[in-house]
Amino acid sequence: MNAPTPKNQTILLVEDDYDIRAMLVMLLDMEGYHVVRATNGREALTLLEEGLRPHLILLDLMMPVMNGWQFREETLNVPEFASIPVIVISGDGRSAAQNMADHVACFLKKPLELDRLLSKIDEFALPV
Amino acid sequence: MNATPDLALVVPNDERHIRDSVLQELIVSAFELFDPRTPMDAFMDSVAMRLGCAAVFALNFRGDHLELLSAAGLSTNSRKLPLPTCAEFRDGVYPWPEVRRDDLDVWDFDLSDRAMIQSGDEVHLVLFIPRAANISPLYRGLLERLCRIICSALHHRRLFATVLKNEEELFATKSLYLCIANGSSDGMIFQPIDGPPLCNRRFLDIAGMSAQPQNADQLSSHLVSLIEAPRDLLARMARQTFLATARAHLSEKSEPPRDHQGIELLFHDGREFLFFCLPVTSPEGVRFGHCWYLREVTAQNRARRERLSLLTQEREARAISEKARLRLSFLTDAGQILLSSLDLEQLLQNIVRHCLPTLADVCAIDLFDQGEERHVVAAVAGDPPSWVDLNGFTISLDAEAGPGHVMATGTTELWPNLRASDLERFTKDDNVRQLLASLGLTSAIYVPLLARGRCIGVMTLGATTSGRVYGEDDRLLAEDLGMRVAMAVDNARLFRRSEKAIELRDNFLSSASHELRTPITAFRLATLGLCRLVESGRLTRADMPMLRDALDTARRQSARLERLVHRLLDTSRLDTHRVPPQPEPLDLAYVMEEVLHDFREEIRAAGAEIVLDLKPTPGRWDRSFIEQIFTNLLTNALKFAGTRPIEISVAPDGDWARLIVRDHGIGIPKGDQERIFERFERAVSPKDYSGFGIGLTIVRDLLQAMGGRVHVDSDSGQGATFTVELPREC
Repeated sequence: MNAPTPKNQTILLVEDDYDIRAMLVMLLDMEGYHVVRATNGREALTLLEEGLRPHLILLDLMMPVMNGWQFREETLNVPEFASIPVIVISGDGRSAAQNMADHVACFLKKPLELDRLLSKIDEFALPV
Repeated sequence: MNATPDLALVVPNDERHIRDSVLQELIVSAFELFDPRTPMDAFMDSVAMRLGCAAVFALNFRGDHLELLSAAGLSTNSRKLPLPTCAEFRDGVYPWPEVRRDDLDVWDFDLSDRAMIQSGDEVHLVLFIPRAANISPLYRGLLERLCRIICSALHHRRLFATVLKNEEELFATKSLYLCIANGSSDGMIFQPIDGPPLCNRRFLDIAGMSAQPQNADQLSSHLVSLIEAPRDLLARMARQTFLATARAHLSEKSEPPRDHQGIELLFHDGREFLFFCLPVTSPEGVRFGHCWYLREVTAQNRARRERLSLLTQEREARAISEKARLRLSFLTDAGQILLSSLDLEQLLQNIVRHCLPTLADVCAIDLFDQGEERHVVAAVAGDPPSWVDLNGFTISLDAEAGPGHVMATGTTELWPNLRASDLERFTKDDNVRQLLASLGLTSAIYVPLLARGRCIGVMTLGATTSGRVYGEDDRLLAEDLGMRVAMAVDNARLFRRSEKAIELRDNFLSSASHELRTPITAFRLATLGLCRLVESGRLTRADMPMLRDALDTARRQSARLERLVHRLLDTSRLDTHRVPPQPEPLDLAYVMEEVLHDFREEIRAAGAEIVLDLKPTPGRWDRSFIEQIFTNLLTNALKFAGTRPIEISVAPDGDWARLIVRDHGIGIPKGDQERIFERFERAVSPKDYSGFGIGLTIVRDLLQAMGGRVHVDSDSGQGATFTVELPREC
């Protein structure tokens, strides 16, 4: 397969499930995104604190160590982090909808529709 | 009158002789004047006859009023003529024809003595003598001497008349008083200062005596024989003292009781009398003696008793209806309080507060039935009530009485008078006994709280300082209240349980949703990736690892999905009757190795290190049971261990086999360690860790089916060690 057209956009993927993480990285890579992985909120926050500035964050909610809600709360406290658009991907619709909707760009329910995910990433990711 | 000429004819010597004889005769006649019961007329006639008078008058000049005391020589008609005034008489104006003559000399003698003059009387003896009779003047002297005798006689006549009159009046008075005494409705014994007692007729009637008593002793003995001894000791003593005083007074003339209201005596025949004594004294203060009265009060007492009984009945009826009203209002209020909240703690506090101080000085509700969380609320009356913490005190169910006994038997205990020694029977625990003693209960009711045929606790109502004594009424009220409380507690518990069930269900649904969506997502992403690669039609050799990865993921995720579906089915089977284990010869160490092989990719994905210590452990067990137990424990450890090592050991221990799975993850707080084996219970939030909350439940149930057990040793942040013990033969 030919190398994809590079988009020069970085996506921070926060997801605890190994396979979902691996498959999303593969697919987004195929679309030309640069993907940085984190297995939980704590890891992702550390990456941000170390200077990573992704154009978008893909955030799972139910994770050990630091879950998606806690991560979002932490990033909202830092204006620099708060401005990064967040797309939530979660299998649990009801609880996720509660008090998250206001603070994220968009909410996508697992299992994910790839086209929809890609169009939302395209829509919300910060321009280069 | 014929004698008068005779007097004139007699010779002087004879005359003197005749005069003496006239005087003697008149004196004799005058003696009759002494007796007031004989008229003066005979004497007047004698005077008139002896001295040859036309008429003789005895007159009383009282002021100007003339009174004719007696007369001789007057006709019946003349005697009826109106009397002249004193002045007219002195002027010689007479109404009587017998003396309206010119030939009459008037001899007037004053008979008044000092006493008469003092009383304003002036009695005269007036003689009308015919001049022709030629009475010797010597007779005048004779009459003057006679007048002194008449004067004396009249004086005595008057005194005698007074005496007679007084005697008559005395007799009348005596009769009157006798009539009064005998007519009295009170029995009377007059005890004169000297002499024997005297009873009136009414007394004799009352006492059943036919005659006056012979003496005081007989009287008092007879009286005592009629009287019933009072039952009340104090009344009997008072009666004896009083009767002794009365007896001494009647027999020995000792002092009667003073200022005494008297006592009531009950006769054998049922009559009741008031017996009292009053002094008999003249208005001038002369003491004649004492009078004892026996006043019948049978009717009054009966009426009074009836009135009292009616009054008491009415009061009682009013009290009962008031009490019923209060009870009803108390229960109504209690009902509202019990309906007002489904929060158990709040509900118990409210009802305890409601009981104080209306129903009790101390109130406690202790819920301590098996399988339920203990709730104990207790308070002492006051404003506000002071709450007592009883959580550290337990109640022994094997007590022979008291709250523990009530809990065990489900029957109310009513202690109207609670003694310190009773507490010995309530508990063997010194601390509990001291606590009970410190409350200072004097009366108590222990009511079982019965709900749906079970005793869920005990309600205590106690009296301390108020001095109330619980009775049957209070017991009924307390039981009624206890029933309502038990029902409300049961409702609150059911509500709490249903809330908990709903929460568990929500958590489970949330977890299940996450658990299922995760592999589906991974699977879909893998197939999407494959599709993209294939659809591009430009696959190169360089794409092969990517292709293999995607295919591998799809395979793994389908297997994961299959396992999840199995577990979900297990979940739904938890309640239904489980298939009994089918033992076969197995080696636990070998089975563990197989399971670990199946898990190798999960272990790799989690980045965990597994430290094994597997010793051959043969035995007979159900293979699928053992696999499920291992799988669940391993899944659990992988979930919480993170990248830290997981230690697994399998080894035989005599007739038992032991499996230990130790992780160094977040650990389980002590308080949660019982709970995690319950269905859908989890020590962590579903937001942080995935899972159904059924793994450990399955482990426990399967082990139980094979006669084994599992326990956890852990604490917050200390990792967790699950130890499974299984008999080698199940």
